[in-house]
Formats: sequence, structure tokens, C-alpha cells
Amino acid sequence: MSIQVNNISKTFGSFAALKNVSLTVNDGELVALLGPSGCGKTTLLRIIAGLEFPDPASGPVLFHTDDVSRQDARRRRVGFVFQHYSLFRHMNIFDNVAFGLRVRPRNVRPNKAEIKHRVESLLNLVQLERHAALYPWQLSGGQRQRVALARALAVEPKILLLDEPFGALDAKVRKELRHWLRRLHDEMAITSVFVTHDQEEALELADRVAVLNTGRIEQVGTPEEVYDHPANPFVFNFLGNVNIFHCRDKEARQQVGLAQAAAATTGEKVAAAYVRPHDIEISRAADSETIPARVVHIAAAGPVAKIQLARLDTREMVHAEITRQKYRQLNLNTGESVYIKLQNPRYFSEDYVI
Amino acid sequence: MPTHRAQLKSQEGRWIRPALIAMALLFLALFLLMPLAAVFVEAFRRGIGAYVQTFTDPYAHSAIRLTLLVALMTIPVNLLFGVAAAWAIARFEFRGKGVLLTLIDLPFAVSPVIAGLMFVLLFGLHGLLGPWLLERDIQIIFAVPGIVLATLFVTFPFIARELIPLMQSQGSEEELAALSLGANGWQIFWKVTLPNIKWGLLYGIILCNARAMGEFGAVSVVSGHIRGQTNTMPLHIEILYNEYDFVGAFAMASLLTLLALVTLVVKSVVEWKSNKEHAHTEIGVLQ
Repeated sequence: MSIQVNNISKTFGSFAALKNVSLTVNDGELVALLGPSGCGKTTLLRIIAGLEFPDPASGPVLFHTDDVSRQDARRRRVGFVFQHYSLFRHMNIFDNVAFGLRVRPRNVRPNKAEIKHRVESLLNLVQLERHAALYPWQLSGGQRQRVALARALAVEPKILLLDEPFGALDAKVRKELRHWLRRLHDEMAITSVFVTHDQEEALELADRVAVLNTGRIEQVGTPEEVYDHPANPFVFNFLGNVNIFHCRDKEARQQVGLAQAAAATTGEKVAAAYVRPHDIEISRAADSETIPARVVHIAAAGPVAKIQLARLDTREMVHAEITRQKYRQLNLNTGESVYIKLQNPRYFSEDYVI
Repeated sequence: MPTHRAQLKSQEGRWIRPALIAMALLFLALFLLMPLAAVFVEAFRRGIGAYVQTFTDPYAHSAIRLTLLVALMTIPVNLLFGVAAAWAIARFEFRGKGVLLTLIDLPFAVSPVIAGLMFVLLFGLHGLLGPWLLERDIQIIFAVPGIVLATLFVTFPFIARELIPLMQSQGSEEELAALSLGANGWQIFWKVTLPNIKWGLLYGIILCNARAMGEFGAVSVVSGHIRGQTNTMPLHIEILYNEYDFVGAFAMASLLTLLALVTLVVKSVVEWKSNKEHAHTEIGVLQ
């Protein structure tokens, strides 16, 4: 079932959490709402769920073609996984998962055997079949998250919403659950939206990513689109590390060896070049487009070698990431002078405030 | 130097700690345990026969009956009010929330005698609504309704005050989860809210009950002290005492004292239980 929100605004007192946000989630898609804390992503998710209601002037929330704006969370029948799981603490795992089935009106409520069967198969799905009799406080964070998911799935929702689903877990469990959730999504083909502040999580897991900032959607697109073609400096900055090369005057442009910078600079607006660390090329030989720099620090543990350099001309710091192979070839040492070249620079006018 | 200091500290501790404990115990013994013991000593001064004799008196019977009746009427009303008020205050943001909170505390701030007097001024013969009530032959003051009203006024903060911080600290996420799973308001209350607040609620009921049975000041003003009709246990004790029937007074008092002791025991059990459950959730969060 597709989701469509149109011109949603939400203010809390004098604080505008969302400003005219529109978003479409296609049937069966997994979409990430990505942004820093306070950007409105959770508010948007709760509005989709019906746990929060937008300002009166807002447009409708559509599920498929149905306007659900006036329905509360109970009628919308979406599966919602809360950030802190919100398991019922006085119920064991089985009863937690069975809750959504047991509160159904008598005429549509499955009988005891059916409920038992359904809960057991869900616990199987989340690999907690042996924990049915335990209470939430007896489980680890990752296990609790899976119970919360099973509980949400028990009512067979057409839409699954997850609020920072891996936020409170440690890094390793996080990664495991991430892959597991993706597999689950692909098997069930359920339209899903999840909120996260972790760009790596969003890029790895989602079909499409909506990047939010201060109550607005900055860009929506596939992970490749938003990563390779960021609409603005905020998106560029938020999706990964970045080096900014200012090109305020002609001399600076010459120095950074950016012929295109001149072209991108029109009229009064001056452009700055944004370059990812892995797009900084380090070489021993100079040419017309290189900038001389000194190696300040090397962190070579891990999949890539992280090199910190200081430009010899402006003394500005530059962060570069190169493959270990390249690192061994170059045989870099701290304090050495080398040359850097910018690959795939993106230009944004300087008056844009991040 | 640090070692010297530490030693000094422990030397201080050696006599200060027992001294403080002894002082506290002495104080407790003097002001709490001795009077408590005195109640029972006085009650049994003329033997168990005289003690039992007190309770065969029909006036005593009626006082006990009335006290139980008042408690039975007060608790459900306060239960309803307390849960509703706590729910409203903990779950919703609305104008006048602060005023409501202050009003709930009002009975704590007002002397019970004044509380009783307010009802007399309102419902008494020369009160605001007196003539209107007289015309319709409804008697509130110097009758059971007045006693119930005065007791209600004095006891109504107990349950609400117990629940508000509890519900505020628990938050509404579990209730929202239940809502998103399709539960209606009634189901959310019985299956999610109530189980989470049950110990706090029970504790509030216990305190409310103890106060309802023991209230003297407010009830004294509105009751009229009519034997066999509007005398509650505390009022009956006063009458017996004033008539120099010390054994009777203290025997009656021993009943209320027992009630207090039972209240304390139940309270500790409830606190222990809820702490245990709370500890579990805390551990859960840390994991």
C-alpha cells in the first residue's frame, strides 16, 4: 500500500517541526527518513501513523487512495515500532505479540489456537521462539527490538513504520539487525518507512532516502542519487565527510586547480568545491591541477587509510581516504610533502548556509 | 595526610553513628512507640472482659458501621477521581493544568476543621444552600451525607497524588503502542495502564482508607455527634473519653491503631513489590 503525504506542517507551540512536507512512498518500498535530531523526521513518521496530527491547514495523508487524515492510529492499522520498543512490561513475550490479535472485536478475533499458531510463527520469524515465556526485562536490546517488530507484524499491517529501529543498540547487533530487516522486508513486501540519523544505515538499507533538515525535505532519491548528486551542501555534508575548498577569488581558484570553479562561479555568487575524502587523490608528482600539502597524520588501521594533510598554501586541513594498496604504494610518512588532486568536486555557492 | 584524615573520619564515625542511631531510636520510642503501647495498655487495664465489653455496646457498633460505610463510599469516588485526574494531568497538555494540580493539593493545605466549616456554611441551616435544602427536606449537615462529603474533601488528594508522578515517569509510549495495535480506550486502560499503576493505586487506596477512617476534625464539625446516628469511630472515642470511660475509649482507639499498623504493613509490602518490578525495568533499560 502506498503512502502519500501532502503539504504537511506541524507546530509545537512556536516551534515549527515540519514545514510543508510532501512525500510519496510507493507500494512495497523501504524508505528512510534521514536527518539530524530535531529535523522533524520522527514527527513525520508519527503523523503517518496517526499518533500525531498535523496543523489544520495541512494537506491530506493518503494510504493508497484513501484519505486517512481524520483516522487515529487505531483505525489506520499500521505497524509501528517505537524507538524504545515500548513493550508491555507486565506481559511476557508471547502476550506482547498476541496483544494486537486479542484486542480485536469478537467477530474478527482469531480463536485461541489460531492466536497461538500465529504468535509462534512470528516468534519463529524473529528467532525468539524459545523466549515466549520471558518478560521484556529479561531480554537484550536486540531481542526486545525483534519482539517489538513481531508485535507490530502480528496485526498484519499493510504499512510498517519504524522509529530509530536500531538507535539504542550497539554497533555489531545493529548491523546484523539491519541485514535481517532488509531480508524480512523483501520477503513480506510490506511498505516500510524508518527514521534514522545514521546516514550509513539509511544508504545501506533503504530503497530511497528522504533527507530532512529543520522541518523540510531537502532531497529524496535512491541512495546513489542522494550520495552522488546531492541537491545542496546540507545533503552533501550530512551523507558523509567532506572537504570544502573555498574559491573566493581568482587566485584561489587557480590554486586549487579548478578550471571548472571559474565556470561555476557566476556573477556575484562564488562557488566552493565540496570533495569527499575518498575523492582526494594523493600523488608524489605535481601537475597543473595539484595542490602541495604536507602529511600531518596517518590512521592506517581498517579497510581504508585515513590521511590528514595540511595545504602548504593556505594551511587548511584536508582529509583523504585511500585504499590500503595505494597507501603501501605511496609509502607515506608523517611530515612528508605530497600533492593532492580533487576528483568529482561539487560546486555550491558560498552564500548557502549549512 | 589523606590517611590521617581518613582515620579521623572513621574515628568520628565510631561514636557519631551509634549516637545518632540511639537518638533517633530514643525519639521514636518516646513519641511513637510509647503512645502506641499506651493505647493497648490502657485498653486492657481492666482485663480482656472489659475490653470485649466495649464492643458489645450498640453505640460502638453503629460508630464502627458508620466509619466503614464512610470509607466504602469515599474510596470508590476518590478512586474514580484520582485515576481520572492523574490520567488527565500525566497524559495531556491543557490550559489550567497548574491550577488543577494546586487544587488537588488544597485539602492538604486547609485545616480539616476549616474544611468541615465550609460545608456547614454551604449546606447548614443558615448556609448558602440551607433554605433550599430545607424546603426539599434534604439533610446534609448533622447527617451521614455531610460526613461523607467532609471525608471526601479531606481524602481526595491521596490517590491522585500517588498516581501522577508514577504515570508521568512511565510515559504514554506503551499506551500509544496499544493504540497502534488496534486497542480501544477501554482495552488500553484495563490491559496496559492499570497493570502498570496497580501498586501505586493500591498504595493510594490504603492511605485514602486510613485517612477516611481516622478523620476527626472535618467530620467533627459536620457530624453533630448524634450517638447511634452520626458518630464515627474517632468521634465515639472522644465521647467515651470525655465521659471518663477510659477503657472504652482506648479499646476503640486500639481498633484504629490496629488499622494503622495493618496499613503500614500493607504499605511496606506494596512498596517492596513495586520496587522489585521497577528494579526489573531499570535493569532492562541498562541492558
